[in-house]
Amino acid sequence: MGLLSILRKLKAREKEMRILILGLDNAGKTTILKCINGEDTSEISPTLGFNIKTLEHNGFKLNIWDVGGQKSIRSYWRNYFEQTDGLVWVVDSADRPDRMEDCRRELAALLQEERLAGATLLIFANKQDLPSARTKEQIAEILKLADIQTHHWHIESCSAVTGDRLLKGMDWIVGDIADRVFMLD
Amino acid sequence: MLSNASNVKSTAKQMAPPPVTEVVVDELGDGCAASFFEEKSEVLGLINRIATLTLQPGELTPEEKRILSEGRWSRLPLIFERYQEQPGLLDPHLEELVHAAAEPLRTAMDNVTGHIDGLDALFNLLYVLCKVRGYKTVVRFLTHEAKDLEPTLAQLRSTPATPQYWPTRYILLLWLSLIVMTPFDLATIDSSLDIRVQSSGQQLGLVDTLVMQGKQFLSSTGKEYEGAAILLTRLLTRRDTVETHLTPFLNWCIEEALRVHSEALPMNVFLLRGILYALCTLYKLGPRHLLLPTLSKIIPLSNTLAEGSIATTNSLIRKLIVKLTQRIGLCFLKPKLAKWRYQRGSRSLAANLGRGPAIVAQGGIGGDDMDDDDEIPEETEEIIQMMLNGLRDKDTIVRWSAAKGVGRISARLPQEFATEIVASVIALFDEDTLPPVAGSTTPNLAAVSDSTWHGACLAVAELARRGLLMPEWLEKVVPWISLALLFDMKRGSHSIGAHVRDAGNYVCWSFFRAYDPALLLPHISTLSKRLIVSATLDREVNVRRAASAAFQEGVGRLGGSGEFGAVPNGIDIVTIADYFSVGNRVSSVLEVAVSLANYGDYRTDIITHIAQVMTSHWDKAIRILASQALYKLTFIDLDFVLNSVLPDLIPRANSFDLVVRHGACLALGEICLAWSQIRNGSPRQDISDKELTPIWWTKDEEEKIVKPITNIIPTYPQTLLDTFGSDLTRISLCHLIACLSDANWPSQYRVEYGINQTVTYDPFLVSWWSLVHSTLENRDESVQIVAAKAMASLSNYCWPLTLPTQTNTQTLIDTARNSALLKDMVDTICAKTKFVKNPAPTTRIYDRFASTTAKAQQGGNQMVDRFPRRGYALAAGMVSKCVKVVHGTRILESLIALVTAVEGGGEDAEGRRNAVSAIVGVYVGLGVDGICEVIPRTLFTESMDALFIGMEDYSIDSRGDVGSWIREACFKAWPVLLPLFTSVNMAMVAQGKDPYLVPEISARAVKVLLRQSVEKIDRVRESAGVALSQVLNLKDVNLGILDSSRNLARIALQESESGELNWLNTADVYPRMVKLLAVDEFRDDLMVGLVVSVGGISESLVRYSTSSFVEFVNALPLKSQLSDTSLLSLQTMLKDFTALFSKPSYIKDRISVSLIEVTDVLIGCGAVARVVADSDEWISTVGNLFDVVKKEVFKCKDVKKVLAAIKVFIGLAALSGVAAKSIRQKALTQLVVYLTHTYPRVRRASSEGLYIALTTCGEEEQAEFEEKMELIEDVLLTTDWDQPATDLKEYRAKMAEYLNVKLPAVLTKA
Ligand SMILES: Nc1nc2c(ncn2[C@@H]2O[C@H](COP(=O)(O)OP(=O)(O)O)[C@@H](O)[C@H]2O)c(=O)[nH]1
Ligand SMILES: [Mg+2]
Repeated sequence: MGLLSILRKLKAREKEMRILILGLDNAGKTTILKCINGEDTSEISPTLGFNIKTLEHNGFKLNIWDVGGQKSIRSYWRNYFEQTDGLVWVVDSADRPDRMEDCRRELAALLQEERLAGATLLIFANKQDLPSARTKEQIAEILKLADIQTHHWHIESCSAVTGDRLLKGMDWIVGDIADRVFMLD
Repeated sequence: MLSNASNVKSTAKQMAPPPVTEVVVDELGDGCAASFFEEKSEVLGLINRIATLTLQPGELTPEEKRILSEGRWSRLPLIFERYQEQPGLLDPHLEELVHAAAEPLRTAMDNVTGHIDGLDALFNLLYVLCKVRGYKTVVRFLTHEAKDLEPTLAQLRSTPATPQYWPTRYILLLWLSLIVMTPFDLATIDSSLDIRVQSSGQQLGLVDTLVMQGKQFLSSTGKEYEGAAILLTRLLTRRDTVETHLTPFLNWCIEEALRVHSEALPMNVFLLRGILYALCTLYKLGPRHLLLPTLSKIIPLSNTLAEGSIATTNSLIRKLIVKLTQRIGLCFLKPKLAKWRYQRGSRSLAANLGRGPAIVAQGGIGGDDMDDDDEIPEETEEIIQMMLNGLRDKDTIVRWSAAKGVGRISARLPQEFATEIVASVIALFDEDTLPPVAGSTTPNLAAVSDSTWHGACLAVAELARRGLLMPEWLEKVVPWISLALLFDMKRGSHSIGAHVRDAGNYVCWSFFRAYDPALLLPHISTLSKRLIVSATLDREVNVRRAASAAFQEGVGRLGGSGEFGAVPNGIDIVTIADYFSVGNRVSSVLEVAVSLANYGDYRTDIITHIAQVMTSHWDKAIRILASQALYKLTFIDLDFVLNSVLPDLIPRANSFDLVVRHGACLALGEICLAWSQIRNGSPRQDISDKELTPIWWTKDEEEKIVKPITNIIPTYPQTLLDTFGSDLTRISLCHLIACLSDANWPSQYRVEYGINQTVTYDPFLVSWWSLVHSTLENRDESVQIVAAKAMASLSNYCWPLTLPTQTNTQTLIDTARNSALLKDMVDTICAKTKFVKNPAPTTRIYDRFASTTAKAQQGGNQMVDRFPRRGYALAAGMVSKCVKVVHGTRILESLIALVTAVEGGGEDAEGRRNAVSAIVGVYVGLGVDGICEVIPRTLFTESMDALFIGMEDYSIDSRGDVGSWIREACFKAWPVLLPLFTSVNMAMVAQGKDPYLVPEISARAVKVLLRQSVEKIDRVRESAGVALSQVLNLKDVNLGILDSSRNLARIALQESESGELNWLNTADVYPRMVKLLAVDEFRDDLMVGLVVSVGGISESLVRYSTSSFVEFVNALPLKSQLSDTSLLSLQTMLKDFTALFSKPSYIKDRISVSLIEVTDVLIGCGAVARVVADSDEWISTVGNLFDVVKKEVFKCKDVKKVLAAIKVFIGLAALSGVAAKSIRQKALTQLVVYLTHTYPRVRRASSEGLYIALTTCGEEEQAEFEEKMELIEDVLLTTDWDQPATDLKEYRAKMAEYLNVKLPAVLTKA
């Protein structure tokens, strides 16, 4: 029995999940992570690197990865010990139209990736507290979410500043992963 | 079926989970409610059909019955095995699936008594589900009504004991284990089911029956024992059974286990396994208060068993013993989480968002304060000792089980006790370590056990994960873990330790997850460096990936941006050394590690590890990789390499350990080359002007580095060059010489200056040359190749055309011309490449390093001499341009002589192959100017002739067509030489001289390539074909053929729709190439090539070459068209074909049989008949064909050939038509003559042939013999053709008479 098969069993028993937070820079990824980690969100410097936080939710242990605005995020898709179970794609709902187009393209490219097949996808339409924010329906249309056939997905509007509806989104992604990966006892 | 199944499995593994088939967007934002289990309806359909078959067999179609009875339901398991990797995808459907299978089973079991055949398909399905998803999850969906108990039991009892039904029994036992959990008193269910033990007649109750069944299945060889163990556990821990049945069962277990233990019979291992498994299950699932009183009985049992012979040899038994011990331990201790344990405090997401309970847990909170007062039973110590021993076990499964045990038990103990455990685990690392070796600060691990280290790592990870390894311990444990990361123990010719390194990485990963970043800060620097070394330089991919993941986790948890993060430049490195990039070993070392060495924090560790560990790795590939990496790393940090790496490497160059010296010499060479290139390319600022001479090394370096390295070879111990491993040593030393030469190594007198001066050159050069020369004579080709490369570099070093200090080329050439050393070298090349029977002993300036075997060979015979010949031929083409300018003609002459050596004929194909390549090498090395200057026209022509002779080399020895190696070498020459000589021509013409390369030569080359591109050996065809298309596509080179021909050929060879033309694929090649038969100037050669393939050996070859050929021939018009005379006609084709029989013997001898066979093909496909039928005009062509075939077998002793000719004669004898009459007669005559041939086989074949010819020819022709046919048949069919030929003459005469043919006069006279 190799180490890997041992770890696979262990992971199922320990109810751990690995979730990546991704999106264009400035979308609010780090703010969301800090917010759900109970940290102060008033002062956030642009993320250079990446952060892993462990949180407990509904009996599951979430290892949440914020990999920041790096050139290559391929390195985080998987590693020797873990696969990615969920993706949180954060969108700045008040962003410029050309950036929204970038956003659509990046997301589409990401979902092509074979290594992420099967991962659950949550889209946060963030910064809803801003007056110019688009609705989640508008975002869904711009991102052409209806075309996504390869992943379970869900879109939630939220604000990382107020914390509004973050929980609802996280509930959904954890529930969906749990349904896929773990049998609920 | 079996292979099919495994296929499906392997493809399923690669497949990602099946994509969503239907997407229902019911509400915006909720995109996906579809199922991931796409075969669901198919599966349910199959289940229903199986159920129908079993319950109402009448309702199935015969086809369905057949399918089901044949067991084709096995498609079901295949479907589910696809989900083995991600079984969770099945979960939403599990209940439905289990019900679909279980309900019909229930109905059947309720209604039918006795075994129901056909139900197995459903049981098997349930088993597969258990296998994929785990039995616990699946079993819950089975029905559990009390009334099912007896029917289910009855079904189990009536299931035949044959192996095929084991899944049925397994599922029934599991099912029973669920039903017996019914809250009703079992006594109330116990009907009058009257089961008697046959021998005693004593009536058993339901519980007893169940226990009996359970015990019986515990000893099964299949998986039933697991089902039985679960059933027994559930049954015996019921409130209404525990009092009465548990103790007797335990007693039985102990008794039986001890019996098996003492008897130690191999077949009883299964019973022991079942008992242990049952006990493990019982102590895991059973209520603690019921089991506590029984513990005292079980502990001694596990102790005793652990000592037994079964346990020592069977790791599964050992694992079960360790597991049982662990369960006993846990049973002793109250279940609780240690309140003292370390917790980093994982926060609650909901709480953080203000909508849930407060923080879940933080360090020091939890548990209740009374815990410490709990008494710890004294047995605990013994149990823990067993766990610790288990960590040392030689088998991983046992160690892992023990590690889990250590973790779980520690969690239930008070802190002091657990601390002791932790200390003991850590002490395992220290076990059997020796004091550090001199110059090292770390313990010497030479004597430790890899298993123990692995077990200790697993336990440390387990303790850390559970928060039981208190942060204070990190300081103690981190040094051990960093040793584990590089754990590698030599064991003979390989080493072990990859599992330890893997586990070490796992520990690091666990640490990063378990502890607060602040606690790890003091250790992160040590660990991250080791992790990077491991992630990029480990030999094993799993270890590299594990280390990369651990490093990533460290950066993610501790932060690592910029130079001053906890992990310096961590984020950049995570991206460079990720899961994907470290996957390939070569690029992981040469690309990833090298680029990480640009980060100062990791540079020293990377370079040092490569220099110290990898250059003496047991795996040769790693040592080579290490040297290549050091080349690159020298560019990154020259100072470090010169000052810290080289001083260590130099003394290792002549180590007594082969592995060490090989790696060291390779590395030294690569480093010195890089060093020189750096200094020559970019003189560094910090070498002051004074020191910065044309010389690229400093005075200091000269003393400390240059001299010792120069002296390595002159002082090399001779024994290391002669004894075991000398090949590898010589390879590494030749590589060193090549590198130092290319580096323009410091030397005082490397060339002999001036004319008539006394010979002066550095003495070390004599040693270097001697080593290269003696190594060239090695028997191993791979060694010779390295030596030849060394000769190339060394000759360029000694006799260059340019030097920093001497830029006048002519002076350098003159020096070389007067060099005695060089003359000696060229003499040696010429002498060694010569093909002589008994070479006279040669004396050379340098023979210090001639290996003793080579010395013994001097004056030896031809057989021994071929190795030097091959070596020198190989090197002859690679010497420096200067050498070629001075002595090129002599070298070329020797090479030509070797290729064309008549003497010895087919001997030494390798020697001639090397000589061909060397001829090309000489020309390429000389270049246009050199050729114009030194190569006389006659020599050029001779060399071309040599290549053409090489192209006809069909030498054969025990290894097969070894001539093909020479031919291939010649093919490769043309794409290189034709453009080169085209340029030479231009230079010649510019000088007013006649060109060397005449169009006839090019045309001949093209044609021979064409011919060989349709030959039979795939590999040869490919190299000829590739060369041919290169030649055809050469720009501005006159090939001496018509442009139209060249174009047609290029079109034929163009890429096909299916990509590039694959010369190995006969189905692709022949149809294209055959078309070129239509080109007049190609036809002759192409036919010669095709003939061999059509008469070839491999089936597909013959099929495609013949069919393409026949198709082509059949499509030809009979006569040339008036409108287009250039169009090929069948008549011309046949004439040209006939002409092949008059090829010179060096070609024809090889293809003669094939020619006759192809003649038969031409007759068989009707081509000959077509010509004959046309008019008398062409009958002479066919007549010629007969004549040439007849001539071919005249006085022939080759039976195969004669038999082939007979086939041709039969075909000709069966021709119809008036025009063919004369040929028919000739052929019949020949067949009649053969009736008295010396070989009985021939006689038989011709008699059969006559019969066939006479019965298959046209009606008119048959009419001729009609009246005599009975007589003819009589002779042909009743004569015994095996009797002596002289006795057969009378029959021959009779046949001649009947057939009205005239026998040749010679025969009739005799
Ligand atoms: N108004 C508003 N600003 C936000 C929200 N989330 C993030 N921001 C701001 O957007 C900026 C970028 O956030 P950050 O988390 O660093 O983005 P990242 O690059 O995706 O990690 C910061 O100035 C945040 O304060 C939000 O929900 N509402
Ligand atoms: Mg950020």
